[in-house]
Amino acid sequence: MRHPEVAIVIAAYNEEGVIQEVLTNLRQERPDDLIIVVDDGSKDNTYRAAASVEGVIVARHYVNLGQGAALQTGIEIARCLHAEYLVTFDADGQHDPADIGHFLEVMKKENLDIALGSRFLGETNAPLLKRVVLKLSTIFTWLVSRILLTDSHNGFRVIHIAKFPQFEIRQNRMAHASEIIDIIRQLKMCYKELPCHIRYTDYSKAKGQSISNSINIVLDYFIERFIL
Amino acid sequence: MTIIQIILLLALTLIYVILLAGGKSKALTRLTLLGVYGTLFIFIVFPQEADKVAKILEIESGKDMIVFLSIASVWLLATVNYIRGKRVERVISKLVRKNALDVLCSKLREQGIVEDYLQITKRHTDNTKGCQR
Repeated sequence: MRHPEVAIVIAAYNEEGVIQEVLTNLRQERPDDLIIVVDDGSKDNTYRAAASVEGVIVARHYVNLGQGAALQTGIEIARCLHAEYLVTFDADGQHDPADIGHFLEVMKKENLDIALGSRFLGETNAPLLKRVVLKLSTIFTWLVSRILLTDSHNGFRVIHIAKFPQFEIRQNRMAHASEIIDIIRQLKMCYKELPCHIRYTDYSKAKGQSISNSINIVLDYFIERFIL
Repeated sequence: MTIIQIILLLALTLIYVILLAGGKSKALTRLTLLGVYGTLFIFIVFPQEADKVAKILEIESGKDMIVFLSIASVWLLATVNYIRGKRVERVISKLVRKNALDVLCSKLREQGIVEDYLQITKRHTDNTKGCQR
């Protein structure tokens, strides 16, 4: 097997309806990249749907652990297959594959270790309530990690993974987004936020995180960071 | 609130933090819970002693003190179990991940991708961080 420069990791849970389309679009836009899907214990046919797309590596958790855990599994696979850069990409089709090339270009040009997607740099079509909650989450992240971002819970990131073998996500669920900001600080990674396109469809809105889940995210974050 | 009540609250908080932070020590957790339950047991059997202690601590009655202690012990037990559950979840995560990688490795091996199979297998057998490059 060739050792690709870029591995795109997608954590998928019950995404049977859209995963094939997402993967096909990705494959068209990024024909040379390694695409890794981690089916996080889906109850539907996500695994089969993903595996039916040619050239996609699909791993499966036999129980649902959460997006953070699925991404970590993807990271381990990408490392073992010698990927230089790792892209985290949402399974619900809200990210634009065309952003990957631009992010990589900027990273190489500016020698960045991690590029974080932001829906708030430039025009945004995020719903008002989501905007408010996401702004609050940036304040939370700044308080705990001392890194001020415009969008701390954006699932689109490009990481120079080969440079950081110690990069490891321990948060199983959605608090991994805050944990990644912690990792940036701990590993002294050179970071930058770049604008990325988010497509809010009815499907992605329905699949997206509920506002009330932010309480769970905060609790999970503190328990994992200070107690476990 | 009296000074003694503040001291008691601080002591309870301290025990709580010690149990959470040092929760890996089963002996410490068990000893603390045993202490709380033992005290409750004595106060239930000898309520007049509870009244005496309550008086010293400036709590209205022994019954009130037993209620305070009961609430504290239930809260303590619930938290200890919650943390224990979280630790078990972490172990489960590792097992699930290992299984996912093993299955993937088998698939890669079937496809003749021996080198990558060996890399992944080695990593998880040795339980080391990062692949040999």
